[in-house]
Amino acid sequence: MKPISERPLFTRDFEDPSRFQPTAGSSYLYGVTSEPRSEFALSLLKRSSGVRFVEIRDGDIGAFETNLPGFERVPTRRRAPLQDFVASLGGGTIYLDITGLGHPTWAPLVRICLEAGHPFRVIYLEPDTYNESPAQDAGQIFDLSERIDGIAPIPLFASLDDRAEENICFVPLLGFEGVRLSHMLNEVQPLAKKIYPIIGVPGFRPHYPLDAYLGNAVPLEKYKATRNLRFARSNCPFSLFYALEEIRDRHPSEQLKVGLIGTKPHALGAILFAIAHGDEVEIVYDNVKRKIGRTAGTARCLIYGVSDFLRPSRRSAA
Amino acid sequence: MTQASAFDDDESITDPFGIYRAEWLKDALFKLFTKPAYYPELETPRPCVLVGGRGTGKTTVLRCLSYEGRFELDKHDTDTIKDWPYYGFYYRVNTNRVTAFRGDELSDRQWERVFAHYLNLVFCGQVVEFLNWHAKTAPQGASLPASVCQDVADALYLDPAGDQAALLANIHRGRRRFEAFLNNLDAGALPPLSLQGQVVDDLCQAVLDMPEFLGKNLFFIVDEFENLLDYQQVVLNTLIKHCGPHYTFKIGVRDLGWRRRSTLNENEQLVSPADYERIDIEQRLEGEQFVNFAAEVCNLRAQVSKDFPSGLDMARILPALSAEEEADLLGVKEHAAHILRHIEVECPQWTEEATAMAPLELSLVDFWARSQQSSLAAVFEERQREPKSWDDRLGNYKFAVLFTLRRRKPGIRKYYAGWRTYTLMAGGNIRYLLELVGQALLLQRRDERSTPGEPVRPELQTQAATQVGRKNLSELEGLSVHGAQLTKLLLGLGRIFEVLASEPEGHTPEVTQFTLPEDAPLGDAEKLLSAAVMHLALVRSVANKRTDLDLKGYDYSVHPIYSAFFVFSYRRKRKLRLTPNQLMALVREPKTGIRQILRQNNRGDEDYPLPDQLRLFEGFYEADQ
Repeated sequence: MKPISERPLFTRDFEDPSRFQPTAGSSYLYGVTSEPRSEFALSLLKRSSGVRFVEIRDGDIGAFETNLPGFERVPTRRRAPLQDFVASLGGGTIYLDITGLGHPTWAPLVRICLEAGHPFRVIYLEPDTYNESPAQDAGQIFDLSERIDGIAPIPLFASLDDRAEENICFVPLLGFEGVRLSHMLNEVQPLAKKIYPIIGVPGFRPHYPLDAYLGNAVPLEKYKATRNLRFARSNCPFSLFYALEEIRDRHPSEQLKVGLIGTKPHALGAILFAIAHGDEVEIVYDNVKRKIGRTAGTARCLIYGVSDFLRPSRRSAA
Repeated sequence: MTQASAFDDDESITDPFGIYRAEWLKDALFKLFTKPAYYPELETPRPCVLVGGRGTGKTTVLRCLSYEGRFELDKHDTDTIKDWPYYGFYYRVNTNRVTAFRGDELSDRQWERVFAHYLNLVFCGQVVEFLNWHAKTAPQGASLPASVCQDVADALYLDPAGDQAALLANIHRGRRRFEAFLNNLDAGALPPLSLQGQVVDDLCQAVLDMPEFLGKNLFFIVDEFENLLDYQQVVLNTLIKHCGPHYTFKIGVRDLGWRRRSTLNENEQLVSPADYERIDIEQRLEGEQFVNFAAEVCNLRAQVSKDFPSGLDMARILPALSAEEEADLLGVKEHAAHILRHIEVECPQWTEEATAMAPLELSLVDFWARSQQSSLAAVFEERQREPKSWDDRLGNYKFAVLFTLRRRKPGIRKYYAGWRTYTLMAGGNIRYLLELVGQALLLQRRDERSTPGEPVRPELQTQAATQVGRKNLSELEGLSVHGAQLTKLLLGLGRIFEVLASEPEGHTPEVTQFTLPEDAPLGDAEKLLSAAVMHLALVRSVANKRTDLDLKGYDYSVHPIYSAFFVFSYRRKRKLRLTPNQLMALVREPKTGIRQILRQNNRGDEDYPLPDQLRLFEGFYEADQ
């Protein structure tokens, strides 16, 4: 196994987001929330010409809304409307800014955009800070019902593959919220020795990995899961992809259930892995409700060359 | 090979009391299995619904009913396979699967048909997987006739299959195709769907016609039934009601998790005992039955550990305290000396009598005087006048007095010790009992003043019980999406029962339960109560039962596993009345809600200091959000 430093990462990193410029003739899909970093798309819109900007809003379950005429509501559990929507963007590069979009909206789009075969980039803007302490204080009660809708498949990523528990590895991508991990563990019920938690290291901030560990310490300890702890750069989907590959190589022919709790780039890495490895991967997601005003500022802009990374040959090899 | 050494390589057994979940134990689960008394009922060819909360051993029992479990229990003896009277197929309902079967793309009726087809694929897959296992494992392996394989493949709209290996592969392929449909939902392009249950009937009949399985029974074991969506429960109910003679169902479900009782014919309900046998684990394992079962389970686990190869005498290792011994540990002598000083001043004529009394009894004299707002002398006189009545009072109140000896003081305020006490605190839940015993043994191992194998000191037993309560309280948050409300409810009720226990003067002692008015609508409290019962924050007992889904016909108490953490009695005793609004107030405005209920029960607004272990939640108790 090559060390991560010797593997291609397909990421362009703009310390100064204002230096990023989408190519002419491309389409830029984005969502706007109250978080300042999601306004990046609006500033881009003002300074970019020859780029088609399409605003997307997370809609009801199983659909999203856009400002593109004819595609005001796009169902996500059926491929044809998504394919029509992507086809309507033309043949240029597609940029999908996932910063202001929920997983159930952007993940099916990633699948369909990759299948469409156009050059496809995913954009993510790191937050400068989180408004509240990332780790939960002792004695503080974490209200899951205010934070999640419950475990249910992401559109286009439902799996019916039931395997015996000894043939399953559970890979939770850790965030700061240990209760979400506990909830997933209760639902997935993996064998303790087959839990491979992944923490984002380095984190967006130097102390975030430790915060993530502390936030999850109780369930990690309960399952003695730190023995299998893995690390992947928190803003890099490809590092996460490689980490998943390494776990899969360790347990060939077993199913990886990947729990999406942590960063969006990690979630993207898991989604790409699921696209590349089809039947061997199940995505577990608790449908978190995004909290308004959770972060402040924009630190840097990351452009992921997803279609270069996941070339058709790699996809069809699955 | 000794039993202990057989487990040496199995890391899950290194701390046999530290691993509680059946799901984690894997093959050790079968090695540590103890048959509960109700097990034979599950082995009958009748549909059974096994009702029990988390940790009651439901999954363990159901997995042992499966053919894989049976094979492990028989220590891989292939010769016995032909003698088994039944073959069970275990299936756990997975939330991430079943929630894929919803959405407004299809009508309700279409979803029912789609889900029924999925169940056909699942159940047929299990039967064929079993046949393949049987073919490989049993001395005379079974082989499904080619014509049957073909018929099943046709009925499920699969690729042709000439033998059972090909049939299994095609079922997997069919499942993947079906998965593709769920990932591209189109009401106008439904895949061909099999008729609900028909192909399962035909396959099971064909299996039972095979010489290897003549006269046998087939069980579909469905665990975590509560995870099914409502309409999916109805689909499965229909199968249970009409499953015919070739197979039957064994269902595992949490209390109140079986939300829909009708079949697809909405006028048709599943009724016990006509349609199924209901086995309520907590009711079946009450009292002595649970004590004996728990001792067996603990002993088996102890024997496979290195520390206790010859087992554990639970009553010896976890000694109990008499009320007098406990009072002594709680400093009753100091308390009595203080009372005696009062007597010497207030009513010196009773000094001799008081000096001769046991300190706990003297504490009751003082307690009774304060309760009745009478003088100490009056109580002494009454005691002398009516000795029988006083003895009764001593019997009734001395347990309650124990809660008052160290109230409002730091440190242990009440002891929770003894094997019997632990079994009562576990409330019929074997996982809780193992946690209590395991934690007590762990604390003893870490305690410099203790020797493993010797009786565990009452302090350590109490600390263990407190820690187990706290651990389960903290786990409530993640158990369900509504875990936070359950945690808040528990913190509220726990605090109320703690204050009632520590301030019993002039009130009914040992108030540990509550009832709800028959005439008030439950409103939002209905979901909260259901979730609390389902996740064992509360336990309920029949008060005036109409149906098991009627929440108002029950008395409720905080699960006794939390009694040491909050410091109240683990015994189900007297009740207070609460309204649904008061329950909701405990969740929404805990400070106001708690104060209002305490006031209603004649405890003033004064400050009742929190027990040490509750200080962590000071913020919760001090401010309404």
